[in-house]
Amino acid sequence: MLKIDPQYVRALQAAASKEELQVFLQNAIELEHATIPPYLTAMYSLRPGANEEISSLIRSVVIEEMLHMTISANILIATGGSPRINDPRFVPTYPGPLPMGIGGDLVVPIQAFSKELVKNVFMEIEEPENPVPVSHGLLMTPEYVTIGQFYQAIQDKIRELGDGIFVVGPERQMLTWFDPQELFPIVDVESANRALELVVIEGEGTSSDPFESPGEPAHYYRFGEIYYGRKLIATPDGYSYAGEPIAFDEEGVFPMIDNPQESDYAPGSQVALLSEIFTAGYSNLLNALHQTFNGAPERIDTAIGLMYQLRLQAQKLMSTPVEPGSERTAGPVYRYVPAT
Amino acid sequence: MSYLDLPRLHFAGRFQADTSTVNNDVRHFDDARFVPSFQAEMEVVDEKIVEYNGYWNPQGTGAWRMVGCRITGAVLGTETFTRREQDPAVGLLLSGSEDRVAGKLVDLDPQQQMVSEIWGLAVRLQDERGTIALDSRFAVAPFCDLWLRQQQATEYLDQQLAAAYQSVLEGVEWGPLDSPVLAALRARSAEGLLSIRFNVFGYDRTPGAADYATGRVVGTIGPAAAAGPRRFVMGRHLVPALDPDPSLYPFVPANGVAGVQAVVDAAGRRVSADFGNALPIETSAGDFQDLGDLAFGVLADDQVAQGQTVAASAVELLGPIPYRDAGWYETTAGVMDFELSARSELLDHLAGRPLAVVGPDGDGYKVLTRETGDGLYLRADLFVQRLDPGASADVDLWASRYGEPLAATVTTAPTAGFMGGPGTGAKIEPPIPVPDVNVPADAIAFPPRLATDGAGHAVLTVTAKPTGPGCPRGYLDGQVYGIAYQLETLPPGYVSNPFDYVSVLAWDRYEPPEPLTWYGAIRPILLQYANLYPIMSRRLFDLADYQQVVANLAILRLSFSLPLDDPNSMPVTRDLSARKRQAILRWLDSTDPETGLPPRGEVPEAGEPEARAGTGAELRTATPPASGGDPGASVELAFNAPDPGSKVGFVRLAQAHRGAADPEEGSC
Repeated sequence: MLKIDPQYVRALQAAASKEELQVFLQNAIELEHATIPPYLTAMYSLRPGANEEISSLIRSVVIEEMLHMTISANILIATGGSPRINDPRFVPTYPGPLPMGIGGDLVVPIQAFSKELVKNVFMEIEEPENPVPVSHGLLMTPEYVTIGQFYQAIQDKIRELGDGIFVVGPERQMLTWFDPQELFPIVDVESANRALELVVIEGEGTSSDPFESPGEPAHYYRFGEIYYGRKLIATPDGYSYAGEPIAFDEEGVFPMIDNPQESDYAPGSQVALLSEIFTAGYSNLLNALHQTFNGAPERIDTAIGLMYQLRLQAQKLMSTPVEPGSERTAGPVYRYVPAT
Repeated sequence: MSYLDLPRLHFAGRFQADTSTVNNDVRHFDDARFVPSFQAEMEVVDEKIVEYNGYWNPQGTGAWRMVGCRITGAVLGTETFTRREQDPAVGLLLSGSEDRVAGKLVDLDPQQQMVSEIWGLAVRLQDERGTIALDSRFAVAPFCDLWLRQQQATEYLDQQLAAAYQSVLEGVEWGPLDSPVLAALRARSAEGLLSIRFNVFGYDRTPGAADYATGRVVGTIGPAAAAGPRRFVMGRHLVPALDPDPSLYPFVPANGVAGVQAVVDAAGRRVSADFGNALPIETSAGDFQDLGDLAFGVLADDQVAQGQTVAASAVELLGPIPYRDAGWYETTAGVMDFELSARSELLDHLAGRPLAVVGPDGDGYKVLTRETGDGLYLRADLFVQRLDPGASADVDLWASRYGEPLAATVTTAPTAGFMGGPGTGAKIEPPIPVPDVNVPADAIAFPPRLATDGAGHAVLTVTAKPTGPGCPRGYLDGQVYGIAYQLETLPPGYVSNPFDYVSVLAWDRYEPPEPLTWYGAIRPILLQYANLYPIMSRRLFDLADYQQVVANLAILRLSFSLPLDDPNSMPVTRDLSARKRQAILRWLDSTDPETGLPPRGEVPEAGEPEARAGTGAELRTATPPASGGDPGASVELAFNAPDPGSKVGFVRLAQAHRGAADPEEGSC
């Protein structure tokens, strides 16, 4: 069970103004973003044409994390705040903890896909407050403050502060690229909390149903499907990873080094250059997202283009030996550099 | 006014040109005969290509970006700065695009890869903290002044040809940096505009090499005027005579030194000249070949030929060219100012006598390269054009004599230039025909004669026939044409640059079969690009697969509807005529009532297999072994890139014409 440092939730509960609430909305943006680099790296590390179902499951989770990040940003914008994204502190250090002490001792790495990574890290990150018992699944007793409770506390605070905190209209919010049922203008307490409810349900499901929508399990259970190698289905006894098999071809993964760092690459080498280009591309993406969430929502189109470019750049790294003759390949370094 | 005027900034660093090479061979455009090996890595034995396959970078993305470039020097008035303490502009990072994707390198056509353009490049100056000093967009320009500059190959597939890009920076926005040089540059230049030229050399195409797909760049940014040419300097032009040896022509200057452009500022009593792409280098590191002492001067006699040695009294020297000094090239980009305030007589002579680069030879000087005969010069500004059927393009021509605007008669003629051929030396079995270029001649029209005005300016209007060229190349859309131009009256022995011609790609007429369906219209268009850009098909999604296309409708709508010079525009959009882009967008927006998706249509019966070559991760090695051509010929094309394009003037495609089909003569 992922715990969040209770001091954050206590501070959030003690917040007396929208300005104090905004600090936690910024934390929420950072939290939602923090999971994207490790998930994306695992997805990129699947060789093109191999492990496509796993790739598409991870991708579906990543896209929802992007939605959640957008929702948090739109709520912050609606309350008159300014998301800070193009900042070195926005990006966690990998390997390292998630923001706000979430996960306690959990160290989140940048690694190529493996079932162990899915079980030990991704399912840990996404584990609900009260997991629905699933055959072969994990079942733990809730004893910590969870991400879900963090969002619950934000919802409570928004309700407490009331409609008056929503002072900036939808024209500054990013409202494209997602289903309007999921991404809608944040204009009042009701719309903000409806959006946050979606964040929790997509991430964790509900306490009685692991599916966030028909056929689509919440993140924790989608990673469970990958780990157990079968689709999640309802059974007479509840739920079980007993559906269609999800094949995993171990050969279909780039042999990327763990937790790549710039110091892994010899100065002047091809991988050093490709790494520099990746980091610049990632920084450019954060720049474009910062613009998107700071008054220029149309810049999302540019950000989307950068996401596609980033995928190609990551795969170039992952198909290039970390040094000549090595069996291991290079990987992406997620770092924000203000100027490249 | 141009980068040769003051003030100016110089920069140096590297660039990456991640060109895609499957489309380097025109025969790979033949969908019916495309085989998976066309997307495979080339095969090399003992540093010789034994199988070209998809050549040296089949997974290229087309990206073109500056890497690790910095401002290395600046000139303000008579002061020269090479350290940050002297002016804070020195040391700034020069980057491409900080908040959008990289620029793209775009070939006009597989049969005209000698004019590759950079599209969608941003140029930004900023400090390490990210404070922006200057932000701008590089106006699309092709490379020019291509020549065999690098004398030795460092790696077996070094690109020994070098070239230059010259254009303007548009939409210039200035940041808060307190730099006297930047302030003066802003004050001097037309609003929102700057002039830029950079030299690219030392490019390595050797897979596995540390500098694979990268090269070196040194360049200059200076003021720009709103009027006048943007892609060359309205000034003085030294054009080298070329070695006529067929194995070297037209890439090797006869006397070791290539082209120079210069301006004379009579009021400022100064000559400024650019030697940045004129002097040979030994290796890809950019170390100059030692040609001995070199100087810039004025010849007393216009009749002196290149390669001739003249008496010392027949040359008035402006000054030495200190190309062997450490740091000279990086801090000046080879641009020099020759101060003439104490030399009034020489300034007078400059008005009517040719400039030359000379080297000592006995008691005299050998003329290594010199200004054009009688100082006459004519050049097209943007000499790469794409034309939809019935469309016109205006090409600006500028004439001058000793740098002054010249009213004169210009003549034009069709030319094949250096276009045509397969594009690589691959032997493909069974053979795929290589189309002829420049036919039928009547598919484009242009005036045979025109006159420049008092500003030296004329507009060459090129018009494409409404019915298009009529599919003369079969498997490949459109046709490439060359238009030669020259001043009608030239002195005998006049030396010109054989690359100075206008390249036109005229698209075929296209009427999509109605109703518009995937199998009926869209897949036949996209299949070619799925074949040609394996990076796209294998790592993003397969453009020839209906399911994958309809799963990515939103990004495809975005990519196909962006302006062509937007770097997010999909590479293939620049490969397509406006009508084909319109058809694709119209189809993306259409809905089959039964599926809610764009209509799929009927799977064709024979001749159009559902499965095709080259998708998926696994490549079957197909074609039988064949002996490859010789890459060492080095006359392989320079920075050849993936993205042949379409017309510059962009039409908002989302509002495309949706009238009923009206098939006409010439549609293919």
